[in-house]
Amino acid sequence: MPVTASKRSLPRSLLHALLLIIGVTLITFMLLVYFGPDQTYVLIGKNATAQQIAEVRQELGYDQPFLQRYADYLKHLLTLDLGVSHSSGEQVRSILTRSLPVSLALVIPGFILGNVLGILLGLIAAAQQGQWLDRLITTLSVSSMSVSFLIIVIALQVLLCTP
Amino acid sequence: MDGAPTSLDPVHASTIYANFLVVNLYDTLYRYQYLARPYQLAPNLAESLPEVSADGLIYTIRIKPGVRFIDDPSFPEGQGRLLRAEDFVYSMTRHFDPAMRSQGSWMWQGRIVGLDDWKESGADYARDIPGLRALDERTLQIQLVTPFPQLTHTLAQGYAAVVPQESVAHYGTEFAINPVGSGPFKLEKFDSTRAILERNVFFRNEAFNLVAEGYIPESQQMFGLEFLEGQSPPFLDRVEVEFIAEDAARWTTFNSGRLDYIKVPVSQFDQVLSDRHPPRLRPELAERYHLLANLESGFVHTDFNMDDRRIGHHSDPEQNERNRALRCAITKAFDWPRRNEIFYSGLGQVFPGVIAPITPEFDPRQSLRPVTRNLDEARSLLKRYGWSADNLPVLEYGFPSSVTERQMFEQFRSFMSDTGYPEDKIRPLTFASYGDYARAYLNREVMLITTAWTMDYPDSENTMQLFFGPNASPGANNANYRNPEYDRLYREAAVMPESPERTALYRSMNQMVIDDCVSISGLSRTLILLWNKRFRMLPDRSFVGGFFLRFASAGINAVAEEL
Repeated sequence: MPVTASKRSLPRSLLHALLLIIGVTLITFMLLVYFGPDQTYVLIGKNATAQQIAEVRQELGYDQPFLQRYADYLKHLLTLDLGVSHSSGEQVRSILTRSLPVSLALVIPGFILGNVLGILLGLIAAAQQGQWLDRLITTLSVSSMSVSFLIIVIALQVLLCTP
Repeated sequence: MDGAPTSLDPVHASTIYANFLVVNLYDTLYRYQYLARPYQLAPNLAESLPEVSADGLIYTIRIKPGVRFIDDPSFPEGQGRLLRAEDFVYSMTRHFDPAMRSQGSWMWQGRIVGLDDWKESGADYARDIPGLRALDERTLQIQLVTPFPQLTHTLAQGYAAVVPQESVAHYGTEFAINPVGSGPFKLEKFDSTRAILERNVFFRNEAFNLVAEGYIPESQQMFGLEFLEGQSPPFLDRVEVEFIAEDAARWTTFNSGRLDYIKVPVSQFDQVLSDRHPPRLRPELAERYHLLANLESGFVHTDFNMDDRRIGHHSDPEQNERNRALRCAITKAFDWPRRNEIFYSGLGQVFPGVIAPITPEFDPRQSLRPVTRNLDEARSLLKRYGWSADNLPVLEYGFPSSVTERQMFEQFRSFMSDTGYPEDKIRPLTFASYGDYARAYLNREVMLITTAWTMDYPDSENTMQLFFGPNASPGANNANYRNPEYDRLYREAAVMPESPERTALYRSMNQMVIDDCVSISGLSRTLILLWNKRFRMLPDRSFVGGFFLRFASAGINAVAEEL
């Protein structure tokens, strides 16, 4: 019986996916290690000695070879062990559990509202194609998309937060 | 509050934000009197000031009876237990446990008999430390290697707060966000945006005494504190601390009436003050708010990296002298009044050297000539020592990336170009974060280092150490200044108690820093604090800060929002 193209490509696809994950995590981790912030000098005290700096680096695992650190990173990812915050000592999982609902509470209504409004206005514009309402909606949409978020944030702050 | 602490573990209490909460959640043996200025130490958890042996080496301290930790799941049946002297021994010892990553161990490093050895031999808590002992449940004894007159000050720091060992073991790294102390408040909620404190119902009963707290009727009568006499703090049932780092957002929140206490951002000084000298509130604000204008307990300064042969110490005596002349010319070209006006609303206090105006050792009669701009003198120095546009070195001015820091650099460049220093030879050295900047200057890679030093205690030893040779980077001597005579005087003064003789030594050392032009220094910023007149209190941000909160009052069941 001939092997179908889809069956033939499944292992290959899995292999590609695995290589992709390794490639992405490797690059991300490499960027973090070589170009990311060095926490050592944030965590040391006012009058640190070279020995104390070495101790903090050891605690943070900075003294380990790159491959060892990468392997540890992958292991922690696979076991969903996100570790602890270097500054507060809190479990990253706890931080996410606490913070995600707040982020979602902000993002989800905005997402729903934006999509509902967008579709609604799009339908109205389509129904009134070429009419003044279509032009108004199109003009407002393009101009609001073109304004920097910085301007919008300041404008809303002035509008809503100034007593 | 204009910043948020990331950890409430006393071993990490390195910032004013962390200290503010730590000293309210935990107990320290000592604190500063609520109202006395200059600052005076007062017993807190200790019964009295320490009993010190004649040679200044042995401190014996008795702890108040009946002090109890708050209820917490880390205790059997969740019930807090009595605080014992051995808790203090543990709390100090853990600073020397590498696993704790203490930021405060430098205060006691090399000072307490056996403590450094304890660390070197593996940080085993079962091992006794000869210089740090609990003689009984309520008596402590600390034995020093050499006299350290500032020891009692260090015992008032958030770093020295007393924690129970079983709670640290119970929470592990998360002890940092689950404080278990015996302070006047306990933590109800804490995250990166706010902390909510509630009154600790087990806090010891101690009558408030105006005289013992250093009450100054002439300047403090207006705050209405007299009615608290004889009552036992804390006087607030609940305190909400909002962490809003962004100045405009913090000010907007205050203006909306949602906050009762704020450190006013410099950008808002003109909105708040009708007069600057002395600072006076606008009438519409004066109806609702009290104002307190205080100099900070520290200063801003720009150090020359003396390890950089282009501008610092040099093995060739002639070049060494030329470098000194160059540094002095730069110092003479720096326009402190202009810096003060543009960045500190003209309210900072400029002074020569490194003895901050808030300290008792400060000499108000000191000549301001070293911090007075004199372009002719600067140009003359450069010319006399053979410096010209061709041979002047490139000046690398380091700073963490921010608009204000960039503006400060541009101002510095314009000051220097007035002397004929080529603008293209004055270059910014920017860093993405403060951590990166700190890494660079602690590794001696930055030529001009601008930093602010916040003093830990009101004794100029805390700033004199900034130029002590053995403290060179990565220690606090960022300038990497090496002067054997300075070091000799520092060692001599370090073992002396406060006295006119010690002050004279400090001033001599200060003069050396000025004469060698090691630092463009300095300016103490003025802090403007506003608080709602509903609250009877005298807030404070200096030194440890935060001790005032237990004495803040608004009547029964009132709620203070602190910013």
